[in-house]
Amino acid sequence: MASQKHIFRRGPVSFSGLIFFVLIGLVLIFLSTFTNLLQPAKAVFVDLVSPIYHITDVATNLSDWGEETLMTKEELLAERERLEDENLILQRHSLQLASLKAENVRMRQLLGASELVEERVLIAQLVGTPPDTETHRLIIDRGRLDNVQEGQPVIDAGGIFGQVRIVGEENSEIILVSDREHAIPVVVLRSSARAIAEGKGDYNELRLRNVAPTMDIQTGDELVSSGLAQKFPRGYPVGTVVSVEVDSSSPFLQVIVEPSAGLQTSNQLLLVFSERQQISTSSRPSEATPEARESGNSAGSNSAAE
Amino acid sequence: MQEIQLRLSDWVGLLPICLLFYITQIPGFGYIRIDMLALLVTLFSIYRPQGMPLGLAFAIGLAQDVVSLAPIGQHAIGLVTLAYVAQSARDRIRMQAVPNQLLAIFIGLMLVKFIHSWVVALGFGQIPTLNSLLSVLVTSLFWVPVMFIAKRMTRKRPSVRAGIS
Repeated sequence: MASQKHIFRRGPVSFSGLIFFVLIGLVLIFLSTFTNLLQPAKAVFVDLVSPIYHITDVATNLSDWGEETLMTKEELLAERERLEDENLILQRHSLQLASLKAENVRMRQLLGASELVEERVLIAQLVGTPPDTETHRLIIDRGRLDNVQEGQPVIDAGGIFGQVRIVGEENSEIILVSDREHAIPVVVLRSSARAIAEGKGDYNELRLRNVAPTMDIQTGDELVSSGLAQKFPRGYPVGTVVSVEVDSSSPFLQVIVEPSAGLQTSNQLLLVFSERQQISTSSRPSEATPEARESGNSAGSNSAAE
Repeated sequence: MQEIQLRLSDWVGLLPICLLFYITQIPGFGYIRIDMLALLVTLFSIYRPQGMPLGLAFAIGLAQDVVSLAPIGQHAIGLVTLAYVAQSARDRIRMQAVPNQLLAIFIGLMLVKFIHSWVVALGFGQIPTLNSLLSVLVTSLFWVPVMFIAKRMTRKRPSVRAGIS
């Protein structure tokens, strides 16, 4: 009867086969999304596929190399002049920062704050961008061999960039602040109001979660990491508020933030290593850690005199 | 069109090329990715279904999951469903001229995208943006050159078994 129904020869298509493979796929998706069972395999995959991303990056690298190699003498001189100017400005900022840091150490000791966070950074190079347009992830060229750890903060020259999600031997996958899965506790610099900035799948926008209408926040406010989740160091720029709107259908304000980091442009990133150093609440300034004493003596002479 | 005469060795060569194609960013259009693997799975399912069992489509999807660092199973379910639908409708699609086949290809690729979006929504609780539909549209347009190359390859390698079916 079946041969009478179909004039043309039917292919080896099997509905039960489809159901079988779809069920296997669903199980894999569940394991991959809601459990950590496949995490070790994913760490291996990151290392396996990174050479492929290196290959796809050849065109961009060639283009960059061409631009650098074919620069004229005038362009090089102009760039050197610009860098010297920038260096002077940064040196001035650095001096101010050292002074503020020393003052901050003393103030925290006076207030009985329990810990001081010292940070060091490791430069990482962007290897590639996975093709899934719905998730915002990147692969970098640092992994377990460089002591990279899961959840480690990643910054660029502008501010908080994201955090490490999967660590391979030599490469890691990082999740950007704009990813829907990502959220970071922030504080408004002007008013010290706290909030949580979460990604919305758009490289140019973050949103603040559950902002009460009474919160002191306005367009143009700078947001920095608050350090509350113990994952991100405090004080790094996260973004600038670009719009604050009242939504009649929601009890909360709709606050949109433009990320400070160059999420689509930065190729050089910094992995932040935090070393939490316990300071006794009863310790005096003179009993602070050697690093704190050093920075206090070298840059904070005026404050010390007070 | 004749049956496509591609061998397993051809697949071994085509797979990494298609994966490279998939993860390569178009400068300035990073959100557009051309899914050549989905096109090849469709091509085989329509013109040589014996060469594209569902298990192979699933395995190719897993490879795509690994390379794109997506949740394992996301592309696999998409490709296996695409292979099934294409094999089921292959007689109707084969009767159409290549430009007319574009609509069917677009619908098939939309199905794959819908499955991807469902997985993303499952993971993140939000429906993805419509930006990714551009990738489907651009990938569909690649069906014409893929068919052109497939026809040329078929002419180069005539087979006794080849014939209109």
